[in-house]
Amino acid sequence: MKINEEVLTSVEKRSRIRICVVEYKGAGLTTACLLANAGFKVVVVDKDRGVVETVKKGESPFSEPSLQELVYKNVKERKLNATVDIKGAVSKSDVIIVAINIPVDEKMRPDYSRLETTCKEIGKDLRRDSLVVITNTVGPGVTENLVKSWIEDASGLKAGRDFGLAYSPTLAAAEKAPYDISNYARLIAGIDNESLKAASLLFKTIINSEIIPLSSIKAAETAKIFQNVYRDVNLALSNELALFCERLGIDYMEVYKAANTDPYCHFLLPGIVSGHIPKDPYLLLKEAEDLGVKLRIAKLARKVNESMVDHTVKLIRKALRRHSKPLRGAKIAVLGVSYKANVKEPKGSRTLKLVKLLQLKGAKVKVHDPFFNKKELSELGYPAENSLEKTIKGADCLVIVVGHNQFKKLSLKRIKALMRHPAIVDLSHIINPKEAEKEKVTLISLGRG
Amino acid sequence: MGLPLACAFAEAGFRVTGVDVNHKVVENVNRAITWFKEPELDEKLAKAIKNKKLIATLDAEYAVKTSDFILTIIPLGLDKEKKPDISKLIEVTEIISKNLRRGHVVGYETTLPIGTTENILKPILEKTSLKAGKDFGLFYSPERLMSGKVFSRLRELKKIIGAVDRRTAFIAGEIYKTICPAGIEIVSNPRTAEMIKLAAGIWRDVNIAFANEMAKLADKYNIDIMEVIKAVNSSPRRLMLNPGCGVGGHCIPVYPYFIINSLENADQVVPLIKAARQTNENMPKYTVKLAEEELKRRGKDIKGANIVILGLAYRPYIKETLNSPTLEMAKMLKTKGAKVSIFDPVFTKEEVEKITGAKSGEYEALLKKADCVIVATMYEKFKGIREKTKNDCVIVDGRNKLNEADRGIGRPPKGKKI
Repeated sequence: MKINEEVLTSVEKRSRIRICVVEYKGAGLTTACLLANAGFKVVVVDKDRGVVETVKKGESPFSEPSLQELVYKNVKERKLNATVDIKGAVSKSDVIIVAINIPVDEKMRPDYSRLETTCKEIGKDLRRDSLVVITNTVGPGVTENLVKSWIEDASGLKAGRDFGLAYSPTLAAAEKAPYDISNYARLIAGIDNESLKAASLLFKTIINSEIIPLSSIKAAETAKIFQNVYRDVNLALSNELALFCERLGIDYMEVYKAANTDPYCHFLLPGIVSGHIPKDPYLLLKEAEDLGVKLRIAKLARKVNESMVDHTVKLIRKALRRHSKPLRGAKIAVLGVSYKANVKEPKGSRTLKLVKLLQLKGAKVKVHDPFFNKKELSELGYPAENSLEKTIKGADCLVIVVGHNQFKKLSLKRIKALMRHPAIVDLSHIINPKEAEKEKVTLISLGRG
Repeated sequence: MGLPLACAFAEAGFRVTGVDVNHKVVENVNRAITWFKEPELDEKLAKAIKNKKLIATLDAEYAVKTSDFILTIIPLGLDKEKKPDISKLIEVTEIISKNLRRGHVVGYETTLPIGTTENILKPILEKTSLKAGKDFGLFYSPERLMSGKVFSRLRELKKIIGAVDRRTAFIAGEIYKTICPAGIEIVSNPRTAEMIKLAAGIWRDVNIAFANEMAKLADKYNIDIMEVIKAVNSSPRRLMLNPGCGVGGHCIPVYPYFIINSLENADQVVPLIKAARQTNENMPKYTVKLAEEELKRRGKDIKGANIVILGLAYRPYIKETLNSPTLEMAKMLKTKGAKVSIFDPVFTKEEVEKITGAKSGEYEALLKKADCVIVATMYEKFKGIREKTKNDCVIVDGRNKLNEADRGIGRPPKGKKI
């Protein structure tokens, strides 16, 4: 393989290594930028012509400032480029990094069809002695069983002998991907020692943290999914306890804070949003069942977390009831469509599901999120409103789904003046209950019984 | 946990009276003799007795009458239906009630089902016509200690206090501050404090169950769960726990039932808490199955096999066997016709035989004739078992600590490639 200690010693030598990153989403663009910044010649391949043109101009399709800077700098220095031509890019590359999000279909089965097409395209033009690294989350066994044979069959080359194959999952949150990728520990596994070594050397050039080599690709694939299932399970446990607290007249936020003073205890904040996390458990639930292993906890966690949308509707009804208002016909203002606070990333958000459910039950819904304009919100399927004021005006209930900082600045007095009925359902605990009481605003806060 | 707590208060300068129904316990305390191992306890008890800061008595009435601050810490067990048995706690509360006077502060440290302080104990105490929060103080402050780490946790953890009124919370806080340097966390009411204690146990139970289920999957995938867990925990905000052959003791296997059995429809209200118990209670059976599988791979039948279980205590160096997975495994193995012996370095041969009904004996002699060894509790001593057994002896590691094991929980047999 072309990647070895010698060629990585200087930026000058690195510039002779060509890397192509397939697909810009799923942190593909960030990985490409970081590698370009480390001195490699990098090209991002994507079918989206618009995005390719944007990147070529030195602009980032994401709002994240640190990423915008990286794109601008590296395109200007001719270290980063973009193309729709996968054939051309692969045939010239020494390293191919695959970053393709795996969706799940309506039956909650992972859909690997796009990964398959891409791997076959890569295979057709793959050069001998190149290194292929899969960086997206996949089910355990997918790289060694499927990816390997897709590439081998299309290329006629043999993994391990003619080309290297490694798996190294990306762990990054939206809006801070460059920081996360550079600073989190990186799991790496290879189909053979040489692939592992080459991939480790490559990522060492962009990672300030530890490289964690694993003994098999399957172990690395599994670890990545478990990281997310762990979050899903613990979010579900926190939600379960929060709902139980509501029944008992106990404030979960107090329990959360006090219980976590024990180092053996890590409760999370409850909520209905969780990014990628809702999807990843499905990468192994079905297979586990086929293997005869009951993953009751992981499965129930999904159920609990998915039920949080229904629970939110219950809380809305409760808030409206205090003002003798039925849900049917009520005007409801919903704030926040990102999957978490202070980022512009709608993927993984459950707000759309909530809005659709409210509409189904006859409520009139308006949605606002300061990170998105009206057009963007409409494209996402939301009944959008331009300004926060217009959204809240005349509403019977205000639902805060995501705790963006902008929402924290809301004055309760102002809200009360704008709303028809001052009822708030707060899922992100940004409204102070004491203040709400003082202002005589009905406040139903998730988990606060 | 009553004795260490009493010693801590005595050390802080208070005059403490310890009450117990067992005259032997009372005698021992007054002679400064400890009957269980706990770091720092011996010195602290000796000092408290010598300085006349601590006395023990059988006479609860006398103790209540002569004290200002009354703490109750009686472990609560489960009855046959796995419902918390609070009869003893009620008895004690009746005695306190009869001797209650204005100005008394009454507190409970026992882990309780949610609502017990306010809904059950308070009415008993108020039988006197004194009112809680007005005439006497009432609070709940959960004991968050752990055998073997009692004094260090008392120093390092914040003390959680939930009282019926602010004044009591303040007084209790001032008193606990003298023994809890990490500080005080006052919460809204007793039931919140009760929930906090149960929540901590539940967090562990559910996370152990999660690890156990994932371990079973890793076994099928033919990957080592310990390698995966290490990788999982390399990322921020993850604390995946280790799987094991069962959760023992009087805390984690017990407290979830305080919630589960207070509900008609626990499946719907607290599905994870309930499922976690089931998964964890199933682990001894899973471990026995691993032993059976490994024996079979060597062409041996579990029927008639010599099986040694190492470890009886639910945690190393804790001389307690409540809910110990070893008991469960021994029973199952016997039903399958295996010859079972048990060894634990903190118990004598006679003690083991009396508690378990299984045979015990000398460590090396037991290992020498074993067809299979199951490690249920990990002691340092157990490293290097392989050298002491027959060549084809099966070693199943229920704690995932031994490199020489053939099988662990989520550690598939070595050399078996799929």
